Amino acid sequence: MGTQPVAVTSLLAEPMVRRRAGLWTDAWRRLRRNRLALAAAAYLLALVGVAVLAAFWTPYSTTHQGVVLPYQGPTAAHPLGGDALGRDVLSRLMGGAQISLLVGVGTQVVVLVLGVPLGLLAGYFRGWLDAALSLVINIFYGVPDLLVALILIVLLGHSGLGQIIFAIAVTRWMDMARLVRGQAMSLREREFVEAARCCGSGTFKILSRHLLPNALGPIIVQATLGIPQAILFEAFLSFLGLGVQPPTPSWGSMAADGVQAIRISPHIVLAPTIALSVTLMAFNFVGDGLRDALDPRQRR
Amino acid sequence: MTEPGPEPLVRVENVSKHFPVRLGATLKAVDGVSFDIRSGECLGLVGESGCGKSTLGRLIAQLTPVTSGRIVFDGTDLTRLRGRQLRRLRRHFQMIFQDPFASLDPRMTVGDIIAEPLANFGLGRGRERERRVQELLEVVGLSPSFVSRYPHEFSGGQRQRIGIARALALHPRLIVCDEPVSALDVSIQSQIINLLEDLRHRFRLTYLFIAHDLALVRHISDRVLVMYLGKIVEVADSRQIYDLPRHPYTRALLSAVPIPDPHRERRRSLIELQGEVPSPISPPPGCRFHPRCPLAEAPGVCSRQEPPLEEKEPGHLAACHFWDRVPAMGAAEPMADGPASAPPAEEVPQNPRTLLGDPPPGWPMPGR
Amino acid sequence: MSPPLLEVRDLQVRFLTEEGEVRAVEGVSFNLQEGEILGIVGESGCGKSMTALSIMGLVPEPGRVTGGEIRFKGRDLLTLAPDEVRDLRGKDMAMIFQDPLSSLNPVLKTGFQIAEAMLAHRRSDKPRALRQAVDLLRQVRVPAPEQRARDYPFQLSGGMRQRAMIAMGLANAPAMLIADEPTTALDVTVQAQILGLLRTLNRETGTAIILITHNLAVVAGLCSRVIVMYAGQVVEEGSVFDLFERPQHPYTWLLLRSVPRLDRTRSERLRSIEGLPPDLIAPPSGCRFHPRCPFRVERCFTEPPPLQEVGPGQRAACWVTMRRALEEMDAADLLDVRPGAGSGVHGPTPRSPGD
Repeated sequence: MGTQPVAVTSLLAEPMVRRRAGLWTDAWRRLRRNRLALAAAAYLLALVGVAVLAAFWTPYSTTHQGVVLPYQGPTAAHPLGGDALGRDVLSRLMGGAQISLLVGVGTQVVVLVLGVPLGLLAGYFRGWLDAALSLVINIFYGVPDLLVALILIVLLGHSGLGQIIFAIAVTRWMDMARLVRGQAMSLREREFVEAARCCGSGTFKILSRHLLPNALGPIIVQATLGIPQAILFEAFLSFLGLGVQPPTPSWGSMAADGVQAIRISPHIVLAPTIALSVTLMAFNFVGDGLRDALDPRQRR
Repeated sequence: MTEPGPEPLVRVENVSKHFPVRLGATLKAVDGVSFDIRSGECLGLVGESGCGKSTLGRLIAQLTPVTSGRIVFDGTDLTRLRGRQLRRLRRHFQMIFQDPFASLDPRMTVGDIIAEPLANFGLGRGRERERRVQELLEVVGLSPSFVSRYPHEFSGGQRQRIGIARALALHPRLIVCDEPVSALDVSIQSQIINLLEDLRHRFRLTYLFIAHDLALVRHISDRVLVMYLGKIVEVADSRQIYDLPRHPYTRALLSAVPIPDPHRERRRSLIELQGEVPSPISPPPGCRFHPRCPLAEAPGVCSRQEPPLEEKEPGHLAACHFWDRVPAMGAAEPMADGPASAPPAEEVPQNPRTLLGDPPPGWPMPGR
Repeated sequence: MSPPLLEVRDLQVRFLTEEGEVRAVEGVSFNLQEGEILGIVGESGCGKSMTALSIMGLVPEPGRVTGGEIRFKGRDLLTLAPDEVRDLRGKDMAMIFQDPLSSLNPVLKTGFQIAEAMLAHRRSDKPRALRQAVDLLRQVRVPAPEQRARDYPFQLSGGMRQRAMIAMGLANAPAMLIADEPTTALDVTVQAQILGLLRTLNRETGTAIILITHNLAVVAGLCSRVIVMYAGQVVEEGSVFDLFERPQHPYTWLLLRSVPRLDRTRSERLRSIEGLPPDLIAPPSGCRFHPRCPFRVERCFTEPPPLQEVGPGQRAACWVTMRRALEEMDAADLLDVRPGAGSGVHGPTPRSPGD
């Protein structure tokens, strides 16, 4: 066989490489068109700015009492007025932003650390590992969140932010684990994973280099949408007096304090409640926007 | 199987792959298959859907474990190996996959994809590894500047070249090509086929070439295996199998392949096989092909006894009780427009056992 | 000769995408006679499917027919109202697709779907339509048609499903049936059955068939005339014999020599077609095939060749044509198929955008 040795190098002149956008470029382009998500992201960026600022400076102290007349309504000097103990509401709101963001992001970090590896292992190996994990997940789903959080906080002693973050994360990690498990299960069937095994890649390499990067999209969306859930949970705990302890301001505890005075000084309860609502909405819009932008169906 | 010549590179011994589907039922994707792959040859593996050829390819590449049987690669039984031992030997056999869009990790650059096998075996370091990757790109006809690009920037044919470069990285001895061109455009297919042929001769590779396109398999292979419902029904030299098939299924397959020649197409009769391939979960008793076979005696030996795959002529194996009644190919396709207008035979098959002119009784006639 | 059943003139279909306007079909013209089997051959992206969808009025968003005429039985389909086209579709003209599994409704019985096709276009009652559905299944050579009519699509094999699709297509005795890659997803033995079936049905019912495929060998047996498309244009058309024995366009010529064939000696090396299919957003200047053509001359870079007569009943869009290439450029012996190799006009190969 073989007459002319048509030079293989003749094909070197392959000039044509189609320049098509990749996942992230494509997603970014779609995200840019989503006005709502962009506005929400801008708000969140501003919120982060405020929280960072609050670490160094607030108009008045967040904890000193009597800097303003108790129950006083909004004035020029105190745009959000004073609370029952004469503390500046605006300053406390800024401080509360710190707490909310720290808890929100912190819980997701723990959720990722717990949920992603477990999900990957369960989804890739299946078998008894998967069965065991599914059992554990279902047990955690079975127990009411509040109960778990309460028990943990009591056990760990509710003084630090860390304990709160951990307690909340323990009730939320299952969603992430299940998501990652599903992703791993479908990705392991893909040909490029087979190809990786074929050329000698070991399990760790496959999980970290092939499965994880390809599951990143849904993971990011899930984590983003988990932040408002965590923030709300923290606010709820603080509202019940089980979150951060006074005098550290938290939007939840501020709301709790302000409820009694709702008729005379509604601003005390309204300020943190509105801040909370807007922040939650913003995170949800951004999360939804990310999900739409990363949707593989929309990619050609 | 006695065989003159050197030890085969791969010896497949009675390999089966069964999948349990429901309580009590198993899907016998590959059922008791035995054959050799000789060093340096291109062995074609052909068959229609459900015949098990892709599964067999994956068994040989050890991407899925056998249910029973042995696969001996260069003297080592792969089916006995686990984990790291198996991984160490993987450098000697690689695979090229069918789908150029799914077989490359979309999150990795082309350079990383090709370097992955090198990294796995610690081959080269830093600059040296980069150079090797660039070399591989050039060998498959791509510019070395493509190392930093991502798979989605390339066309199907180019991606397939990347996959080939990856398969070559470890200097394997055997490459299993699983339908490497069926997902590509026609005009690109020949580029890749020529490339594969050139590479085989340049690097003295052995190919197991799996495809459903018979003309392609004949073109590229030295020997051909035909599979049906999980079993091998015929093994022969490329030339032999196309001129003088010894299994009715092979004969029917050959007859069904369209040829880009309008005169011929209008003259030849399509041997229309009745029905379609039955489910591999409950294959027919005896010879699996007997319900559709024009030569079968059923009820009779064909429905009772499974014919063994045996050497019927030198180098030509077939699993058929009536192998000697299979009509020859060549221009003497005896049923062109019915016996009356049969064109004169231009090539006379050498084998005296061939029937010329009249088809055997029961062979399907054109028209209805 | 009676007027053609279908006349397509200068058809133009464009898609507006994020990256620009895709010229999917650019000035395609051809005729279909009554009872004829016409083949349209080309690779993915050449516009053959889009041409068929335009005829049926099924061009998907964001595509639009932006020019041309489609005269079916004398009426220009592009000027009809949507419900008039819908009326024709399924009755006078029908289409079957590559993957019957996605074209058939999985939750409805097969016989019912065929009956539905009939009931949509004429008055009948359901029991009668169902009986006719069984008859149609018999006509498409489905064994045990009564039983198959009561089966759901997933219970049928690939070949059976395609036959059911054909039955649906023929339900109202259309004058024209368009088959878009009907056998691509099928095994070769089943393909032979389906192609034989189409030939038989054409003989029995006189329905004209447009067979769209990328497989040259398939058209050789079935079609009387063939059109070859490339990059949204017709590059060659002629009788099936002329096309296969005397192809005049280099693309056709190369395509025939790049596919492995059972009737040629094994040792012949396949000729390949260099390069990649063109970008339809910014197609090459001049002849769209010139970046890949071994026989190109200077003119090919700048002037797009019109479809012109190269023989009785045969037309090709080429400045050079294979006749000249065979005489002057030793094309028959040519094994180096790099662009320009035959004519020596290598020149700057226009690069596609984004390079």
